[in-house]
Amino acid sequence: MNPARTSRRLLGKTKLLVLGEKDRVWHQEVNHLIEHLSEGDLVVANRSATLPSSFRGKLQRTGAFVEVRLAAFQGPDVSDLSHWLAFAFGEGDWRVPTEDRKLPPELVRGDRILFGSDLSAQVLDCVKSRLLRIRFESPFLEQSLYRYGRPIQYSYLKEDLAVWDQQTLFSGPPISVEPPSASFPLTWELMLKLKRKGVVVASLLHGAGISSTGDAGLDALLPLAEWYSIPQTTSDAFLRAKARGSQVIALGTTVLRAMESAWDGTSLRQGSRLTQLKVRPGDRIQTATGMVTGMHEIGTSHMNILDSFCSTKHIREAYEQAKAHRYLGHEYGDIALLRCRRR
Amino acid sequence: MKREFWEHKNILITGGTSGLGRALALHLNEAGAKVAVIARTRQAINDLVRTYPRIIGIQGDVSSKEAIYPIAGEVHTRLGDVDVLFNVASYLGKSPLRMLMDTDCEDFEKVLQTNLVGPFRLTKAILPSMLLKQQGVVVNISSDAAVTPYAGWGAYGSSKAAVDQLTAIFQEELGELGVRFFAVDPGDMNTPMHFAAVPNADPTQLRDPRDSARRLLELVETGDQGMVRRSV
Repeated sequence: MNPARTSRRLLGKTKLLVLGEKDRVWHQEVNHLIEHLSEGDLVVANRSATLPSSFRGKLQRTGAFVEVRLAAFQGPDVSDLSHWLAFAFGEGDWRVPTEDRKLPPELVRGDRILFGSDLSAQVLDCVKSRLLRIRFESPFLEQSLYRYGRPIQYSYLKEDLAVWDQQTLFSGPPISVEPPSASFPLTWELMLKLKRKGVVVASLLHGAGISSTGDAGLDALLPLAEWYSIPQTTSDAFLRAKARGSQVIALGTTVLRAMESAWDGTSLRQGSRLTQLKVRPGDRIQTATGMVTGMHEIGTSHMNILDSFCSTKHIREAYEQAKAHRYLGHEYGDIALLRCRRR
Repeated sequence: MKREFWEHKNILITGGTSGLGRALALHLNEAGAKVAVIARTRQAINDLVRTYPRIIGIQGDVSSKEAIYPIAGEVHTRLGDVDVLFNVASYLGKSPLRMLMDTDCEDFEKVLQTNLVGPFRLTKAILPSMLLKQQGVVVNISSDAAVTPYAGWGAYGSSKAAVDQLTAIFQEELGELGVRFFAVDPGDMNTPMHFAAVPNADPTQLRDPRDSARRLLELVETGDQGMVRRSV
């Protein structure tokens, strides 16, 4: 499937692939999402904004260049953006394939990396080769993060992404390092129509982590521990939807990960914590009855989560049809709604 | 002012270090609200925060597109979700005021960027949490120059007329999602901006910005569902 090569969104024109019961497949535009939802159904969004997450600095001890690419927010709360997991890269930038880039300098616990006169990071721990636990230090931390941080880029896009291009319609606290992109094609006009139909829209916060490093060894560590927070109102809305037997649709894999992590057997636990949860093939999803996701997720790498909603055969067939219909893949491309498994 | 209405509310004010914005910030700080002000210079922020340490100062220029998400990110981190947004920061244009035919295109654009496009962008970045919670208030500061064609006030008056319509359309589109919008004419106040416009103004004929601020806050408290454009 070809990727969408621009971040400019054709609002309302994004293609929507729907996979339903009995191997049914629909090819529609995103505004038709409403036809698949009924009064009382619950849609859950991730309202995290995305922080520009690539920082170029130098190791204080030796002066060597190092790129720190934030990988996952570590909490304990959105009021403190100091603590992150991050990957270290050597000379070069994202245009250079990772395998061709120089290795980062050797880093040890206690090392300090300088990004500018008002921003540095301390290495709290070297978790695994190039995976670090860091703490930022700055007198004006939020300002400095935006001053020195650059958006994580995608090689398939024609133009560099700016911070505006990374935000969704729900953007709030900036704790994601890459956008929770399943919401990109949605509009407030559609949200308004959902409300008029009696569909409930609730939100949670999940710090979406890095999706790929370009290095198979590092990618094997993903997904990392990610921080999420579920408000009481969303927890309550979830229970009401379950009690009614209504659909619960997760907008994106980050929402699914947060909800599955918070499921305690009877309810969604409200509150904030880190999750290590990995959804494995065959795992039974307890919370959502369906999910909206980017077409790239339907490709290969994240199939294990999608398998939990629809059969592999159904997904493969729908994906082949989508390719024939010239759907566009990746973060700024078309989306799919998987709603095969009933509550 | 009803203290019980404002206590513990998260308030964001642009142009919060002088004139009406500062008066709003001080009233709200006094009423127990959590207040963040946005201003362009660190100096102006430091001067305010030194005297009122509970107020959160955020440096940024709302007329710049690139500054909006850094500002919004800092707001969500340090203030939290915004309950009431006051778009107060305004630019009059070059002083002394001049006729439209004598106004530089660049200066006209700068007025629109600060008074109209800035509030539009900041509202876009701040509003999602209000829409998701289905509650919140946005107050945009207008002027009688929005409706009366005063000679010399072309750029400013045009920008404020557009702010009125921007506010009214936001209300029309989003009212049913529980967010309330006001465009408020605060009257002629004894502020640096007014003296930039009318250098020989008689200060005894001008309203104290603290008085306008109090009236404006009382309007918000009422939960009034009437007209979008108001004078206080």
